Amino acid sequence: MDYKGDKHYIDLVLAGNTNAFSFIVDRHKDKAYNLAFRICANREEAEEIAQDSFLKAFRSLKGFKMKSSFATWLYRIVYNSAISHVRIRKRGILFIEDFPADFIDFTGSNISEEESEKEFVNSIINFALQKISSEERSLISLYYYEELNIEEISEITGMSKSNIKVKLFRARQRMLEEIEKVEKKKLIYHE
Amino acid sequence: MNNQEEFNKDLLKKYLNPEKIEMAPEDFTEKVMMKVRVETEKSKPVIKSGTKYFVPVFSVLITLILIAAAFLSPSESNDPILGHSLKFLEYINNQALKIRIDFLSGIDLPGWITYFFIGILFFALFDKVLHEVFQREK
Repeated sequence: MDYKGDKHYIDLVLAGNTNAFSFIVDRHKDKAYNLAFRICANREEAEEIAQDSFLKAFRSLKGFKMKSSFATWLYRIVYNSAISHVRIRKRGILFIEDFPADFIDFTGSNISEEESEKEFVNSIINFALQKISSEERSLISLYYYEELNIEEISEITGMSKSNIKVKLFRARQRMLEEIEKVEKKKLIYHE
Repeated sequence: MNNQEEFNKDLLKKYLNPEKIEMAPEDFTEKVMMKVRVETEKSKPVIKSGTKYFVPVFSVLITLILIAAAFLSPSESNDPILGHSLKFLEYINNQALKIRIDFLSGIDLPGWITYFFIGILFFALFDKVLHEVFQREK
């Protein structure tokens, strides 16, 4: 079924059709979950945060004035929930079971060379993501995974545009440093 | 932004893109909708169906009885029930007047004052009924 746009379903929900909210959830669940996961770095917690964010959005739907897109508004809720969750938890590091923590040799398994290369790239990206703070991860996630521009990220996070640029720059640098380190390890491992 | 930074940006774009996002669990939507339904049920006002219309129905019934009594009662009735009822109402009326006179002895009040107070009491009851009805519908 074709998605008829957020506004259509929001109007239906506001008119009393609660079930119309499921179309909105279906549409935005992956990106909302991904953002929560990138910030808090735990699948169970990310699911809980994303679900609660949708519930908060449902409760506040009457107050949503359509000044920004629904996605931006939702990401702001997810971002604030996840960041405050991490602050309460006081844990910036990621769970090892969620992200492979170090270089893993995938060549021994029964997958193709191309697949193993993809898995390897994913593992080093995840490893690099471990090395940056939850705030930096959220910016990286919004910029790369959600493909939002600096202005939209500023709207979601409440940070100034210049601050976001600086933080993104530092996050990139640190991630690439970590990727380089793993690449060197890989070379040594194969030698 | 220098060339190196631009290069770094592009390099990360190769690895971090929307195709590589973490997908929400399959039952995610159902779980959210369950929470939403619980939320919706909670916010619905609890109405006791049996007592919802008690006050207005009772009020309407009393009013209809009084109107019917006013139409049906002859000046001198031989009907024992109606006769007793009229006597009782007359008795109440006399008592009310007596009470008024006792309380306000020495003060000469016009005759319509009794009806005025009874009118206020009726309006108070009417107001209470309206309040009950509209309060429940909020």
